[in-house]
Amino acid sequence: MKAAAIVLMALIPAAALVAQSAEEIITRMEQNQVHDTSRMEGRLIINDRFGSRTSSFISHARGADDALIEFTSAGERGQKVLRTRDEVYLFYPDAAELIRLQGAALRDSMLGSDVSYEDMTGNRALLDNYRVRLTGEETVAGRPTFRVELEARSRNVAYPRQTIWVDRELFVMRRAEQFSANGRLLKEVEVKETMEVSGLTFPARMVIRDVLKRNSSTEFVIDTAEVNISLPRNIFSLESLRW
Amino acid sequence: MITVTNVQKQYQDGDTTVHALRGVSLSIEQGEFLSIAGPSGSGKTTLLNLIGCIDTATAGDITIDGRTVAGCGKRELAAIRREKLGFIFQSFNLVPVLTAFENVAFSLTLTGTPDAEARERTMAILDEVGLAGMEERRPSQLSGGQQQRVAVARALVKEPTVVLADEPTANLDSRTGHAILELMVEMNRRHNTTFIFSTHDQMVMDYARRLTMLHDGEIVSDERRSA
Amino acid sequence: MKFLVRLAAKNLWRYGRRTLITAAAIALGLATYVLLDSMLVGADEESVRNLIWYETGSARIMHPDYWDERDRAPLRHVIEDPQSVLDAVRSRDVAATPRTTFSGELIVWRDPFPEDGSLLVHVTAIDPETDGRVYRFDQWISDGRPLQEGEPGVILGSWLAEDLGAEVGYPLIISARSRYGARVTIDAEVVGILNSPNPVINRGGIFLPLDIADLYLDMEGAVTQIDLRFADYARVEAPIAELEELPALRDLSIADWRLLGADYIAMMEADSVGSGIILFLVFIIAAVGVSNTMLMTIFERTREIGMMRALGMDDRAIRNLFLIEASGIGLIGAAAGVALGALGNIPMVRVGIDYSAMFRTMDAGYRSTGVLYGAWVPSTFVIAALMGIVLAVIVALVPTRRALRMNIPRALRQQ
Ligand SMILES: Nc1ncnc2c1ncn2[C@@H]1O[C@H](COP(=O)(O)OP(=O)(O)OP(=O)(O)O)[C@@H](O)[C@H]1O
Ligand SMILES: [Mg+2]
Repeated sequence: MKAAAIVLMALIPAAALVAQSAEEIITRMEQNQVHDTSRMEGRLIINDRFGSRTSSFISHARGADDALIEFTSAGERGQKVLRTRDEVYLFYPDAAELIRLQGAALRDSMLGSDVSYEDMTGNRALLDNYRVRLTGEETVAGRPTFRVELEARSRNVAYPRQTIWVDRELFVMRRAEQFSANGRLLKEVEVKETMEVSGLTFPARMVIRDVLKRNSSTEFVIDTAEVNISLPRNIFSLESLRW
Repeated sequence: MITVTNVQKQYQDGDTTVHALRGVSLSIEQGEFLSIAGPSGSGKTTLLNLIGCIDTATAGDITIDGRTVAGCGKRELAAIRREKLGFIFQSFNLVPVLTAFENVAFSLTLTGTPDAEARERTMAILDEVGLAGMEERRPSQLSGGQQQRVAVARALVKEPTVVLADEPTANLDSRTGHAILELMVEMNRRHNTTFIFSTHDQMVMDYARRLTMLHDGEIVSDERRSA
Repeated sequence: MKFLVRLAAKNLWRYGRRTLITAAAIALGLATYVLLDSMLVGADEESVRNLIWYETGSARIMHPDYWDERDRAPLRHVIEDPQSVLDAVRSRDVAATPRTTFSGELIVWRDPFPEDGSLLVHVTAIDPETDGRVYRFDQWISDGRPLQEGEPGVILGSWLAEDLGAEVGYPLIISARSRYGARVTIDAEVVGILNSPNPVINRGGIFLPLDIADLYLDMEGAVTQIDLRFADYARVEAPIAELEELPALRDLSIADWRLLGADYIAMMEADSVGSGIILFLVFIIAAVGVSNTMLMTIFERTREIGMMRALGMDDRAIRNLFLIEASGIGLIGAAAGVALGALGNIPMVRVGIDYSAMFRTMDAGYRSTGVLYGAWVPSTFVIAALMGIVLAVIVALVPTRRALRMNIPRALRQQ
């Protein structure tokens, strides 16, 4: 009886430790992936039934909230997406038109990809939105990972459930799955390559699939990245959209 | 009764002016039986039209029963025609849808004669012109001579000042023509109605008690003859 | 005057053939007018009926802020307690049914569908038990069966189903947002195909049981609308005024079918301008035809007019005579035209004109498919008859006046 109590007492902190480490895992992953400041150049490769097309971009980001993406490929040259804490703006150079995305418009797909504007806003600061739970350790693409399940804290989170596989050694995301409230898989993210800059490891090539729309996928590639650099002042302001 | 004073009539035919009447003066007494004769184009029809108030003179004046025609409006002229003038046309010109009786009564209807009276007078005049029993026939059921008799009756039934007839027999064979002229003579005698008729037919002129010859829009002779 | 009428009647009778030809021209024009109008009114009436019976109901109760955002079918502005509203409305003997409309994406996959695809849609969640009190779908389910409570089934409009290649029994996914914005997916099965007389429904209708929508969309009993049908379905002012008094509806607003179908109504009105133009053209064509015969008729009688003038008949009386004759012709033509129109309208109303194939691709906006039925519009017959008479008189006026302006000797010379 006494022995049983001792075993029980030993188990409780162990369980607590596991729970804590799921949050730790996410925190460490976000430390890797969310940068104080960054400048990246990359490509968005969209594959759908119309074929494959590539858009290249330059992005600047600051923390989890602010980002400015400017497309540089011929088709959409000069198009910009500005994300601040609460808002997303689009700038179309041809029309010199600035559009603020609100409500349902945030759910539109960006450039016809499997990524919505909302995905760009929602994916950060996971611990604010989700309760996390470590549910195992698995090998993904030959790498050992933690499997972390996320469950939304409130009803207004776009993806009520997610599962994220985080590299056990590098604390970078290897794979993610996003589910609807009733448990249907909506999106799959596979990290194909990672990149290390200034001691931070983050995904450099990801394939995102909208599972509901078969035979389409979006590849997100980062070619060059600089992190923790100084960015021009006011870069994340509306004025900067109209350079 | 009827005076025609220095009446002129010109027609504008494109650029050329046709002088149909070049100053005609004429005085016609009650009860005359007058023929206006002359070659074709001499102005007979024109003169009758002016006296008949269905056309207006370019110059000069016409009076009928003391009324001056010049300067009368459309409605006044219509009233003069309705009340004082009777017409007999070369081609009869009856109302095709009306019976003989109705055609004659038509003139009385226009003058507003009460129905009963109109009926009586119509029956009487039809009898006089020799159409008793044919009252209900329509023009298409009557011969040319009979139609012209209806026309005579129609002209006379309202007891006009003057009856105007432009070549009344031209559309009839000579025998029927004679009969119509006889009828006109008879009516003139019986009712003392003035008759003015035009013709270029010598035989017709022979019926006239006064013969006015026109030539090229002017009166060239005007003679009275005893019957 | 009596004399003129008698003379006119005699003339009409005597010139029977001419009278008949002119009257026939009028009759033909009027019959065309009557039938055309019957068709247009029939189309409008049917469209209104089909709008109300399948799309809008007589009126809709909504959250006051819903209306401005209706295009996006948001689940933000809802009726939280539909039952109390339903009870209140039904206590006034008004048929009512709750519905929730939401926007989403319809996703179909190859096998059994012919290909993978997705489509942005508005889904209408209906209460299978009470929806039939307001709408009339059940009799138009051409395949499968009606929805059942608690069962994730959908009914698709027939054209939509055809475009998707859907058949009863096929599975599909509706991807949407819950009331709070979370992504939800509803796995459902096609249980029925709806082939209604309303092309808008056939082209885009997607129906789902309300309790399923409630569950998946996290509605917690709320609905976006309560749809109503009044005893006289198109008469809304009085019943709405009465309902607006109800305390249960105090914080809600009511929109009637005219507002709900405003695009359509506007189009119908624009269309009635179009039909006005068509009818006007018919009138003009008839007028031209009639005026031609009338012109001939009067021209032929120039000498008669000259003679009557020589006899001293007033111009005005002569004009009246001819106008009386014309109106007589008009009357005959009108009677014949109205009779002909009425006769032709019987099969139009009973049997109708089948044009089902036409509206499939053509977005004419008419809420109608299949067969177009005529309508009885008494006023049209009256208008047509009056028009016939007026038309005849108007077209007689011109040649009569011309003949009266001619000088008498010339008129007498005319052959
Ligand atoms: N409406 C008209 N316009 C132009 N000229 C006219 C008109 N009416 C008559 N005339 C001309 O006026 C003249 C007189 O014509 P009118 O008819 O009076 O002659 P008429 O004596 O009656 O001849 P007819 O014996 O042939 O009937 C003629 O030269 C004729 O050509
Ligand atoms: Mg002559």
